[in-house]
Amino acid sequence: MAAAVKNKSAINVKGSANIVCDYLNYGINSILFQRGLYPPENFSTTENYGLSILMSTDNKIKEFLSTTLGQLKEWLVKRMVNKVALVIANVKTLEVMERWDFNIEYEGNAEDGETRTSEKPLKQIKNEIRDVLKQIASSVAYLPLLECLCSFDLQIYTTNDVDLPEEWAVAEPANVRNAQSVKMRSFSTNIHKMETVVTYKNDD
Amino acid sequence: MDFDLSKENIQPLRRGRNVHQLEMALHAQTSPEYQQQLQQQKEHFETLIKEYQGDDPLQNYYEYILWIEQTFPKSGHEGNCVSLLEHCLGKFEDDPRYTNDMRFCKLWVKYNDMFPSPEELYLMMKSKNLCTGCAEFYKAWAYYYEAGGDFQKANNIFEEGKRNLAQPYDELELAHKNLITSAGEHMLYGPNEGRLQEKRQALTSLHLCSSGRVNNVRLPSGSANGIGTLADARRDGPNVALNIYEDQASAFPTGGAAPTSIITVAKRQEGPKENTLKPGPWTTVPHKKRVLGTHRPIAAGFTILEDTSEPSGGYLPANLPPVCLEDYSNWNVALQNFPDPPNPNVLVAYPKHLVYSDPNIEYSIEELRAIRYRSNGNSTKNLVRCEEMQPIIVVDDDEDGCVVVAQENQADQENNRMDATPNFTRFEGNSPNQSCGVEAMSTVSHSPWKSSADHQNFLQNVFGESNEHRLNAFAPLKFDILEDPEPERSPFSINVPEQPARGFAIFDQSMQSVPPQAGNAMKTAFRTLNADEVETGSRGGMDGAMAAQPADDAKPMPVPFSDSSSCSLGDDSYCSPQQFSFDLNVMQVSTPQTKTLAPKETPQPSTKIDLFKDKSLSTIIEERSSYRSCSSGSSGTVTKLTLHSHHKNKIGTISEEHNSYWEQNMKANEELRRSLLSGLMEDVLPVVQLPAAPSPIQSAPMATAFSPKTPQPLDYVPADPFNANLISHLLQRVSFPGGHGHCLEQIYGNPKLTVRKQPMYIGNDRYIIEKLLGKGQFGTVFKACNCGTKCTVALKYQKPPNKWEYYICKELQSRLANHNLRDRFMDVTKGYFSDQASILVSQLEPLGSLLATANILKTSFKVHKESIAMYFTLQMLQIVKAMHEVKIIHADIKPDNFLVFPLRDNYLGLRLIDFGCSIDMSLFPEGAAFTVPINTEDFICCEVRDGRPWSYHTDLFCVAATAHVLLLQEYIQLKKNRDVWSLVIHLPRYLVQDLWNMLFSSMLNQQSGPADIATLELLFQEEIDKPSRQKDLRINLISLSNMLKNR
Repeated sequence: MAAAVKNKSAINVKGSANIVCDYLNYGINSILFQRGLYPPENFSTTENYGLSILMSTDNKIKEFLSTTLGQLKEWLVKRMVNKVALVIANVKTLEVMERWDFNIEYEGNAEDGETRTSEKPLKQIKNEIRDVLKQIASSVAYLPLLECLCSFDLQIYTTNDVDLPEEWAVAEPANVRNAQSVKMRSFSTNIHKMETVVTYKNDD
Repeated sequence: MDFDLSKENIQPLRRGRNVHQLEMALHAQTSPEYQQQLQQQKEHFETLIKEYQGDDPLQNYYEYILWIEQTFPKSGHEGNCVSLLEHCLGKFEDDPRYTNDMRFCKLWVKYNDMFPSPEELYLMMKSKNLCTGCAEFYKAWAYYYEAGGDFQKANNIFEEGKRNLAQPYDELELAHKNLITSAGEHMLYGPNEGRLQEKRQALTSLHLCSSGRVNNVRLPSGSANGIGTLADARRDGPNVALNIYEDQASAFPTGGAAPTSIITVAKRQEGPKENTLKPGPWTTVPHKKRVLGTHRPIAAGFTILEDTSEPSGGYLPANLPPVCLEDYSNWNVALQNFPDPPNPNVLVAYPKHLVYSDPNIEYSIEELRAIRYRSNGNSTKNLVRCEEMQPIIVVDDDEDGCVVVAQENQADQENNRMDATPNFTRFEGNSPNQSCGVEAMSTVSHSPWKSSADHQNFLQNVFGESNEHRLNAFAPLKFDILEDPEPERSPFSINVPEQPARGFAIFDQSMQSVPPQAGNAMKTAFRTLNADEVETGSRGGMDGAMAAQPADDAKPMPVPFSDSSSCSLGDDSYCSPQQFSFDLNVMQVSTPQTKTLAPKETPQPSTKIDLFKDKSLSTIIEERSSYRSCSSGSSGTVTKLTLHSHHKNKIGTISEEHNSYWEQNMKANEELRRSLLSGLMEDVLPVVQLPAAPSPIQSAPMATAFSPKTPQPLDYVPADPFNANLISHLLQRVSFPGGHGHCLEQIYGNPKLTVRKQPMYIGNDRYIIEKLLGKGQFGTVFKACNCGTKCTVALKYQKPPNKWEYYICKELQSRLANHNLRDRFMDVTKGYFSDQASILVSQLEPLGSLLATANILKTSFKVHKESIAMYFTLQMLQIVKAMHEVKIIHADIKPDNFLVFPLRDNYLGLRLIDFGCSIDMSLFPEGAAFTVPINTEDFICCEVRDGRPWSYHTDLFCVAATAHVLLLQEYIQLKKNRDVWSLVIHLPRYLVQDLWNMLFSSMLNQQSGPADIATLELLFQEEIDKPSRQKDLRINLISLSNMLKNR
C-alpha cells in the first residue's frame, strides 16, 4: 500500500528531465514571442501551467527546439549539463543583445544516478514553473527594446566528457556588453533545480 | 524581484531599465524609507544642476533625466520628466556645444517620442541643424515613417543621414540596411509592419499625449470645422456678442513666421486644442436644425481658445522677405453669379434681391444696412444740420430774409420770408398754438455741440449744479450779454471775422423791434419781472462784471416773453415767469452762440469772452441737456420746463401760451430747416398751421409736462390710419423711440420663442417661457418668467415688429403721468426690437381678460350680473374717457382687450391692452375722421356700418358692445329704424332699463359727434353708488374674483 502511494507520486530522473525540458520549451517560446524575435502571427496559444503560453508555429523553430531539447534530455539524465543559454544576437553584427541563462543544478548525490526519485508533488512543481514563466512575461517591463533584426541560438554548457553528436559544434560563450542581470525565480523537481537569469545590455 | 506583479505599472523604455533602480522605485511606492531615499537622490541631482559651473551643464541634466526615467517607472506625472525635458531642451536648444551631442540627441528623441506623430518636430530639428550629426536622430526619425509604411521617406532620411556622415556611421548604415530589408519584406510578403508599430506604440502610446482630451463628439464630417452645435455649460445665450479673436500683426504676410523654438511648437502641438469638448453623454444634446438668419448669433458651444502669449520678439527668421514682392492690388476676382432657380419652397432669410442686386457686385448685409441707415437720413441730417446753421443765422441777421432767399429754392421763397425771423418776431405773437417738430429745435441749438466732447463734459458738470442757482444767475446774465454790443470788443466779432458784430446787431435789432409790437402791457409786466430779477440777482451771486453793467438797454428784450407768460401764470409762482423768460432768452442767445461755436473754430483769446462764454454756455448747455435727451430720445422743449417744475416742487403750472412760444419758435426753425433740406428729405409733408384752439394735450397741464413731444400733426387726414406706410411715417415724425428709448432694446434677428424649461436670452435678459397664452393675427403672447427679476411677465411677440404699439403705450403712460387711471393702461416695461420682430414685455394679469369674466358670468352666475356689468362698464367708460382726453383712440376695444386685475378689498380693475392698431389723434389735424372700415366682427361701429367717417366713435361703440357682452353674455346685434340704431333684443325687465338704454342709444347713435362720456359716467356712478347696489356688488365681486382665481 505504501509502495503504491510512493509510486503514484514519485518522479524519477527521466521524468524530471522531461519536466525541465518542457519548461525550457515553453520558456524559450515565450521569450521568442515576448522579445519580438518573430512576428506575432507565427505564434499560437497553448494552455499549460494554468497560463496561456504562446508557442511558435514555425516548423523550423519547432524542429530545432525538439532536437535540441531531446539531446538535452539525455544529458540531463546523465547529469552532464550545467547551463542552457538562449542567446539573442543581432543578425547583422552578431552582437549579443541579450542572454537567457537557465542554470541547472542537480540535487542529491551523484551516486544515486538515474535511480533517484523525487517525492515532490507535480502540482507544486508546476506552480513554481508557472511563477517563473510569469516573470519571463513581465521582463518586457525592463528589458530594452530590440530595435534590430535578431536571431537566437541555444548553447548548452556541458561537462567536458560529453559526446558531441555530429551536427553539434563547440561555440564561444556569448557575453553581453555592459551587462546587467536579473535573476528570476527558480524551481526544482528535487532532482533538477532550474534557475533562470536574464542578462541584457544596459549601456546608457 | 516581483516585477510580474507590477509590470503594468512599468513603462517600457527603449534602452531597458536598471533593475536595481526599478526595484528601489517599486519598493518606494509602498515604503516611505525608500521614498525618502529617492527624494534625497532627487535633491542631489537638482543641487548638482543648480550649482554646476563647468562647461558641460548638459551632463547633469542628462543624468537627472535618466535617473528620473528609471526611478519613476510609470513615466507619469510624478517624475515631472516632461517639463524637465522641455526645460533642458529649451535651455540648450541654441547652445552650439550640443548641436551634435549624442546625449542631447537622445534627449530630443525621448522628448519627441512623447508625441503621437512627431515628424514635424524632427523636421524642425533638421531645419535648425540640431543633431544632424547623430545617427540616433535619423534612426528615430525614420522609425516613424517606417512605422507608417512610408519606406521611401524613411529611406530618404537615412540617405540624408549618410550624406551628413552622422555618427556612429555604421549604426546608421545598419539601420538603413534593416530598413531596406524590411522594405523588401514588405514588398514580398505584404504589409507586415505590425511588429514595428507594436514596438513603437509600446513606447509611445502609453504616454500622456491626448490624455483626457478625447474628442468624444463625433461631428458630422461636413461640420468638422464648423461651430459645434452642442450646448456648453457656460452658454451665454443667443444674443450675447461673440468675441472674435483676430490674429494680430497682420503686417506679416501669409505663411507666418517660423517659431524659433521647437519646444514652443511641440507645446503648441500638445497644448489646448480648439473646439475640443469634454466627453459627455450624447443623449442630452438636442439635435437642432440650424436655420439661417435665426436670431441667435450662434453661441459658441465651446470655450474659445486663446493662444497663450508666447514670448514675442524672435518670431521672424532673419531672412524673411519683408513684404510680398508681387503686387496684388489690381487683382480683382471676378464674381461668379449662379442664380438659383426660384424655389417656392425655400424661404430666403436674407434680402437676397439686394445682396445680389447687381451681377457684378455682391453686397454684404452690413453694407445694405449702411445704405438703409443713410437713406433714413440719420447721418446726413446731422451733417446737414451743422452746415445749415449758417444760413439760419443769416436769416436771423437780416430780418427781411433776402439772404436766405439767395440760398434757397425759389419755390420756398415766400415761405421763408414768412419764417425768416422766427425767434424774435414771433415771440410777441400772443396766441398761435402751433405745435412743431421738437427735433427741429433741438437740432438747431444742438448739433454744433455734438461734435465737441469737451462741451459734453462741461455740460455734465454744469448739469450737476443746482437749478435754482442757475436760474437766478441766468436771468440777469442774459441782459448782460445782450447789451454788450460794442463791435470792437465783441466776442462774436472775433469768432466770426467776416461778419463783425453781426451777432449783436441781431440782438439789438430784434430787441428793439419787439417792444413796439408788444405794446404797453408788456412794460408793466416787465417791471414786475425786473423786480424779481433784482431780487434773484442779489441772491444768486452774479458776476461782478455783470452787476456792474447797466441793464437798461437789455431790458426791453425779455419783456414780451415774460409779459405774456406771467400774465397767464398769475401770481402763484415767481419762478415760472423767470424761468420762461429765461428760457426764451436763452433760445435767442443760443442761436448766435451756436454761431460762435460753429465750424469756424477760431481761437478765443480774450478773457472777457471766456467769462461770457462760460456763463452763457451754461445756459445753453442746460438747454442742450434737455435737448439732448430729446434728440437721443425724443422730448423737446418742454422737458426742461418739466425739469424746472420738478425742482420747484411743481409749483408752476406751465402755461400753454408759453408752450406756444416754444412751439412757434421750434416751428419756425423746423420750417426753415425743412425748406433748406427739402431736397434731402424725401417725404416731409407740408406743414400746416393749425387754428389757435388749444389742443387737449396742451390744456391738460401735466400731460404737457410729461409728454415733451409736441409733434407736428399731419396736415391731411388719411383715410386709413392703420396703413403701414402711414404708421412708419408717423413714427419717423415723432422720431421714434423718442423719449421712450430707455425701455427699448435693440436685438438682432428673429428670436424664436418657444415654450420650454430652459431659459433663453432676449437681448441681455433671460426669460423662461412658460406658457403660450394666446395667438392672434398680429402676434403671440407668452407667459414668461424673467430670470433676473423673477417676475412673471407677458411677452407679446410680433412679427413684423410693431413699434407703434410700443409708442402708443409709452405715450399713454407719459400723457397720463399724473392721471389716476394711468395704471389702467398697459405699460410696456421693456420692448425688444429687431428688424424682423419685436417683443413687448408687460405685466401679466393672472385673472385673465374680460372675456373670461363674461364666460364665467354666463356659466356660473345665474343672477345678479347687472351690478358687475355696471361696475365694469363704468370702469370702461372712465378708461376710454381718459384715453380720449389725451387724444388716443384704441380702435380695437373688445372684451379680450380688457384684462381683469385685483384691486384692494376684492375689487376688480380693468386694464386696457393691445394698442396695436391705436390711433394717436394728436398726429392728425383737429377733428380728423377716418373712413376705412373696421373689421372686428360684432364690434363694427355704426359709423362704419353707415359709411360715415369715424374717429372716437368706434371706441365708444365698442364699449357699449363690450358692456352688452357683459350684461347679456351675447354679442351685440343691431337694427336700424329710420336712421336710429337700436338693439335687436329687448333688455330684460329686471335690469335698470333707463340706464342701459341711455348707454346703448347714445353709443349707437353718434351721428352728431362722439357721445358724451362724462354724462354716462355720471349716471353709472350714481347708480353704482346706491347702497343696495353697493352691497350687491361687493358680494358678487368677491365671488367673481374667487372664481377667476380658481379658473
